[in-house]
Amino acid sequence: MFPPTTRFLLVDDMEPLRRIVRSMLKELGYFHIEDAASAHEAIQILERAALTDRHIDVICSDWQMPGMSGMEFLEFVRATESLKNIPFVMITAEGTRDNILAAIRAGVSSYLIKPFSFAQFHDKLKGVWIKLNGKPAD
Amino acid sequence: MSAVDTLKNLAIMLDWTLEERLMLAAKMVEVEVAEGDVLLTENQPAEAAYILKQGRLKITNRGEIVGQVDTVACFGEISCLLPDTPVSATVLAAAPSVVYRISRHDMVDAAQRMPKLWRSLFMQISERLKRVNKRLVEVLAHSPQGFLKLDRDALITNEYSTKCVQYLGREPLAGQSLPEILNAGRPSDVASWQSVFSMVFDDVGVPLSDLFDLLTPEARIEAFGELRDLRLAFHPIYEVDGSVSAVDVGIEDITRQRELERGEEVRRGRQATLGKVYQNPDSFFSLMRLIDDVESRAAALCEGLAGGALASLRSDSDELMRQLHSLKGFSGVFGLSAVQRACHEFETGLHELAAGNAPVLPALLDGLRAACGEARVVREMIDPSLMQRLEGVVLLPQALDDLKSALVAGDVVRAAAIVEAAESIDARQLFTCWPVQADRIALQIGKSADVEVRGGGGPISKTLFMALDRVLVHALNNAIDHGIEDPETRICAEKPEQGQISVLVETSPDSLRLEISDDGRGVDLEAAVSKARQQPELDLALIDRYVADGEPWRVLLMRGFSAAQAVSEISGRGVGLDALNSMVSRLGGLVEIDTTPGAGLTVRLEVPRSARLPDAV
Repeated sequence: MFPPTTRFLLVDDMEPLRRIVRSMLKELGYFHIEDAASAHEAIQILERAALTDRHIDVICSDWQMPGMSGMEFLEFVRATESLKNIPFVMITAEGTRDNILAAIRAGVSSYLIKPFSFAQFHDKLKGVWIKLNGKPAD
Repeated sequence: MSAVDTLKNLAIMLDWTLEERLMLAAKMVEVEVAEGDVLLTENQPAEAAYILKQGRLKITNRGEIVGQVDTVACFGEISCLLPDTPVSATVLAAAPSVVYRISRHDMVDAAQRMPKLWRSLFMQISERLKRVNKRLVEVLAHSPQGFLKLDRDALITNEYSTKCVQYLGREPLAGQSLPEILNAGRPSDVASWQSVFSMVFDDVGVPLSDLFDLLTPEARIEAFGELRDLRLAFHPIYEVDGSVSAVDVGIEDITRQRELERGEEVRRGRQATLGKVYQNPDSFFSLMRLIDDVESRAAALCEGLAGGALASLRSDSDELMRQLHSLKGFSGVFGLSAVQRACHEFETGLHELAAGNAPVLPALLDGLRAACGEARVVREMIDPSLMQRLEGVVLLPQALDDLKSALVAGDVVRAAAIVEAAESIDARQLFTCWPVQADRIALQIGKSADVEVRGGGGPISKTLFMALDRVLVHALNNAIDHGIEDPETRICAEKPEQGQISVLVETSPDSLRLEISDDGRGVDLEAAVSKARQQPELDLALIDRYVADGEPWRVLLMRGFSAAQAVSEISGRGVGLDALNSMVSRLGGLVEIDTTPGAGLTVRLEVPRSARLPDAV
């Protein structure tokens, strides 16, 4: 599983959802959590972080956001050389197969369908970690 | 027991000579192991082979216990003899044990000297294989799950258990496409299923579990004439290089579980309906009578149609249509959504019939009967003695005493008055359900409405109550569906977001007066009249007379007139106000409509309190 020093970036226009995910992360022992209320704000945080050594390790972003959507944000991250390898977990209320397929094709690392439980969130993060570290799924 | 004696007990060495046994025994070193000591580790080459002398060994694979052995047996010999062959399972002591250890080097040496050892091992492997096969067949036969293996094209391979045939309803399964079986008749679902499945084999950056979550977790399919609910679990089968070569699918039959859940849902629905029955028993009994009536009329119509007497059925059909419409609205009050649906379908059928099509009315009748049966089940749930009180006339103790003394005194007029009072119902009760019903309907179509009941009410006869109860619901439905605007429109029109429906209930010694007003968009009567003129089934001369009389609103009450653009489940077939009007006329009363475009609509009713229905309701 991701080490306790992992830096997370939460992106969601809804403050309550950010608070929920934040508390789930804390429950899992992660305390380096950045918050953004929009994809634009998130990009600023990523750019600022790139200038220091406090780079972001994992992004958890909502899909449906006013302005730049989570999907556009994902496309931006994957197209930016310095960011393209950051694990990106997409959070969405629209969990249809076709929607998720589109996100997978765009390069998402995992997805979460709202509403989700703490256990589901934990499983998804674990899945991403195992996938990145080349261990078999079981 | 010496090493030689131990070897004697090994089944595979039964035909060995003493000399041969002695030779192997010379290489064996006795070792004592404590509980938990690991002798061999899965996926690693064996450094030595072990023969259990006494004690108990546990064999595990990926943490699962595969077996325990407490008789003389040999482990790790294959891995010692074959280069690059790791042991397939972990062997550890389940209890303090004594084993003989033969080092890999000594094992190889013994095998080179004694070709017989190869033969013995070969026999042993063949025996183990047979046992494993037999065991696998047993496990598959006894397991409630079906197992099958899919190739990369999601085709079922020839590895599938008999249970799968039973669950998926096909034989043979090999070569069949699982997504097509699961998504029969939905090609776009098959395509997206295939897309996800193919990603399992290509590294797409998400964990496999994410992909499996997108495949069918549950499916309902027809297998050998019966519907089955299945739950599916997917597991990758890996190649040595870590890539996925195929997918295992476990299939579980959860039909029974789902049946129980559905049963529970039906039970909860009935309880909810029952609760509403207790709140408003008179309405419910009125509903039950309407149900009986609708059912017998619908059956008679179907019979008549079968006899080919189409033309003479026209008026029957009209009456049935009105009643269906009343029942549709009325049953919603009690949460009988199945009845609502069946009424809507039958109505649609009648419309098709009128339009010259040939709907399958008998099938619709069956649907209607099944739904009405559900309402009767609720009635059966009421305790008989309570039923008597709910349906009958209840005399409070004081009234009963009065009645007795009136009868003893021979005062028949007073006795009749007491009974009549006991029989009567407060007219305000006609609207008990309205606030809840208004909420429900409004929510359904994205509106918001509040109901206010004013006026003193007053006692009315049970007959009058039941007659009105079933048709008044049209006025409510119309007000919400056609009158009250959606919240945005209302805000733009500078009206409060929530629509207001106001009901006035008053009685005079002779009559019951009801006024139902909404503050919605009202009706543009000029437009309504010109729309009515375009409807061929309406009487033009009558329309002209209404307009000449200065009562153009009467077109709203005409049979078949609808101002609405679309037919919805709630109202809009033009039978609502017509049904209300026809009932009130039969009761000897009158209906008037007053409307101002943009400001709302008021329906005014006046009915004699002594109204008796000339024919059965």
